[in-house]
Amino acid sequence: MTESLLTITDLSIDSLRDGTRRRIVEGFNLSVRAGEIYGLVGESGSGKSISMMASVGLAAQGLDVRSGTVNFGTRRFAASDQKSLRGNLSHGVSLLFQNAKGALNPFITVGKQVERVLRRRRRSDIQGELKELFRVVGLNYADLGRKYPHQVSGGQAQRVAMACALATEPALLIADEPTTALDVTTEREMLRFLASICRQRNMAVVLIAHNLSLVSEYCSSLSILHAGQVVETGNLAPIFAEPLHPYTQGLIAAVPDVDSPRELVPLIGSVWGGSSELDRCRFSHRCPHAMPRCERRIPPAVKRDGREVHCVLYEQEVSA
Amino acid sequence: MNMQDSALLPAPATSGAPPRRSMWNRFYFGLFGGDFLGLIGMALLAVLVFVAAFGPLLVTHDPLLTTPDTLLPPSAEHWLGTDHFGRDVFSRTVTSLRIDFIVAGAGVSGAILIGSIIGLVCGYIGGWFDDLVMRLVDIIQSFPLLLVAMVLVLVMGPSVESIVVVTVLINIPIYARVIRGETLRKKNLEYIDAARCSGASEMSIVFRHLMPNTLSPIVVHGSLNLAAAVGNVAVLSFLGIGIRPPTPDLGVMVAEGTNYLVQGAWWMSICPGLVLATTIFSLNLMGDWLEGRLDPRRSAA
Amino acid sequence: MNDLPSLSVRKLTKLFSDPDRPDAISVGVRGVSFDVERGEVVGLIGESGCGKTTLGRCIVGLQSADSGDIVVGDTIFSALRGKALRRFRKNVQIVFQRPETSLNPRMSVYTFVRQALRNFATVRKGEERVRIEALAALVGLRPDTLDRFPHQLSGGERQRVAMMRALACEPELIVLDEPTSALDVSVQAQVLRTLKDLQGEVGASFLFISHDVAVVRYICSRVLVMYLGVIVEEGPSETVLAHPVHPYTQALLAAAPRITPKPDPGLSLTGELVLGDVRPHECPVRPRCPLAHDRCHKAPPMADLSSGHRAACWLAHDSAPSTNMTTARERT
Repeated sequence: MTESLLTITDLSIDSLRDGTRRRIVEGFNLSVRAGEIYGLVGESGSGKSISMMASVGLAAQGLDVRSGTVNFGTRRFAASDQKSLRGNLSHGVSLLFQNAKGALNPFITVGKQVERVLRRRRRSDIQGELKELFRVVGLNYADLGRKYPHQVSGGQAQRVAMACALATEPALLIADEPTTALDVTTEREMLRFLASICRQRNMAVVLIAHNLSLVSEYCSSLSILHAGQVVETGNLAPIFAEPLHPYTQGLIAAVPDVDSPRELVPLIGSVWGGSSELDRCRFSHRCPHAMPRCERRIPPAVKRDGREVHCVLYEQEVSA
Repeated sequence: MNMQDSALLPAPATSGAPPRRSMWNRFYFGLFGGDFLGLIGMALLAVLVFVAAFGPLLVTHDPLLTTPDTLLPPSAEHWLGTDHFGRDVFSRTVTSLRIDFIVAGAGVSGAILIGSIIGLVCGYIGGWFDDLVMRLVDIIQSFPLLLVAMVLVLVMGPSVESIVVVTVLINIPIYARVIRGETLRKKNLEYIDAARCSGASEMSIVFRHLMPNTLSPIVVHGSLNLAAAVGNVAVLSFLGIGIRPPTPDLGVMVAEGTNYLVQGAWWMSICPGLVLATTIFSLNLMGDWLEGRLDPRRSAA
Repeated sequence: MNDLPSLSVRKLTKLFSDPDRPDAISVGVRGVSFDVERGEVVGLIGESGCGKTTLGRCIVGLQSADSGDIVVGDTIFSALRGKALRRFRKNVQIVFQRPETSLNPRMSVYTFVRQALRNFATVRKGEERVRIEALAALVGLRPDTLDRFPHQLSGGERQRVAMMRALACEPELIVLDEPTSALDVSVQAQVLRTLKDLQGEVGASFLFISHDVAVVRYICSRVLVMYLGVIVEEGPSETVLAHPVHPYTQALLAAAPRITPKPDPGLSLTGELVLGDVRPHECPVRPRCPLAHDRCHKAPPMADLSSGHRAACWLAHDSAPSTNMTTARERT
């Protein structure tokens, strides 16, 4: 097993709004190896984007990073020092967002935008490198380089954003729902392309998604988040083959299947519906197996078949 | 429905009990979002409005009564001194404040009413009607305040009413434009279509569904506009084309007082001038606070 | 009226052209015809820009068509004007996609839903509360939700309120324009379950518009696949989604995300829809179709394949027979 590129340990984040403090990410751990696509899955509001942003020093205003350390390569940072994190990680990490058109400057041609990013790193042969970058993301510089963002399609805009992200030759790419705004047929192409780039450049990707079926094909490992707590994490194959956490099971059962009209089993309630107590399993209010113990402490991590599941159900089995 | 559906009932939108906070915290953070200047503005304005509202009960002297005691400095008898006709400056200031608030308030309300209807109808109907009416609004807007005021005073005579009409006329374009923009933005939203599918008539769509949703920017514009209107009334009166003496008005008082500044009777113009400045300042602070308060991005939080 | 379809769309055309790009083909709906039988749930699948939303809005009379008719029961809905139109709206309702804007932010849920009852005088005034509470139970909302305002509700709850409003006047047909695509997976499942139960309960026909093949498969008995304003394939869900004939349907199915990825997903289209590439009077899928050949420069006719299964592709008969036979055998 190769060394991990990015390791986040025990990241906790509070939100400060209207003078109240609320824990929105609790003890978040993550470890991504070079050349790997890592899936981070959760419903909206589960804290998946917030955790990743905070771990590269981009926590939004009104958020307070309480604890956590970030190891990037051989260096180690305290997550609470967002400024130094931002300064030190900005060269190694690139970001890709859902709304690519919104992320591009509407007044500058797409070619120039990529060029600007490129100039930060390189001094020579910028034009050659620019054409090469466009070729890598599957676009023709001669056709598209002089167009403005509103003149290109959604898929093309996402590829331009990708070119910007790749221009700095990052070791890690954080892709925050990069395909949500795209059509299904384009989405697949985009993901396949992301996977091939990742292989070629030995670049790590954290793919943030709200849907398990999106990460199923391209990720080797994943974490599933619920209300700021990791519920299940590890290798993808065992998790999908036999999901252990009730939330993972629920998520899989809730997605309609293209290949068969099987009945859906919806999860009840909503992500933040439970009480705001800190020391509890934050899924218990939606969990079919909830018991009094779930309300009393944060569920322990139980290791099994290449993954960790955070649920008291399995702790019992281990001790018994 | 069956048993499963009781399980399907969504959880209540509000989660758990909010942490208890003190009255002051709830007032300060809840209502003002921790905006200290907004709080100051509202406090000042509350005092001024109170004074204006209960003016007749607060005055110590008849504001119009001339006495031989001219140009007396502030004392226990005359809190802010007397003017060149021996009238009590405090009583006149209080009365002026009341009149100026009424004139500016009536003018701005009239402008809101007429301007909103113009904006709403133009935005909703669109087409040539919209073009025509909005060009007329442009024409009104292109006249300077003083010109409109002078023409109207010439036609209607110098009176409180003509100043109200000037204020209405000069401010209509602001509201017509703001509401039209808001209407254009909201008229294609799904809930308007939903109302149409629910069989709502065009009248009901415009006034029941569209209008309440276009009014929020008015609150902000209104309070900032009120500040400007109070200032304008004073300016017009100062220049002699607004409220005429002997009716007390802050602008008139400042104007009269300037003639006696050299004689050392500073209280005649400084006191009403300070009240005028405080009024405009507090209205502006309130406007800024409302703007922040009603910003959808902040209120959504 | 009972044997008439709930909805019959006849040669409906509504096109929008981009004044900045006169060379590009116009988007919208071009000459679409189909029926929705009483009590049927029909899915309309298509990607962005295929005209599915325009079609939905034309059907509920929020947009007037360039040509063609919308027939609801025995009434030509698209020919109605003024008061007659307003009164007839009772029969066709719509649920919109975006939960943020589908409810009037200044109205409580109760007032918002009540407007339909009032305007169409469906129930007497004294019985409104009872009726609305019954509707709330039907869509799975607690009675205390009725006095709330939209900003106090979650996305799923808002979509349920939108469904309540649509159901309030007991319509003949409800168009659901991507009602769950803005929702989270777990909430989507809750809403879909409710919709499925509802359909049996209220007996209205549903036209379910979506880009998500899996969702359509779950809820619909018959599907229409739309691309650039025309229906390219239609038929029973089981047939169309298990044995797609049209290359576009095949690509759509292949690209659909799955929990268990298929080892050999099959056909995929090249690139994205570029309006400038498509010529009028040719097969709209041609520029992206991996199977395109000379004949595709002429628009293919709808080919009848088996019980209600039709596809607009020159290769339909070539690729269909084998699958056809099997489905025919399975059915008998």
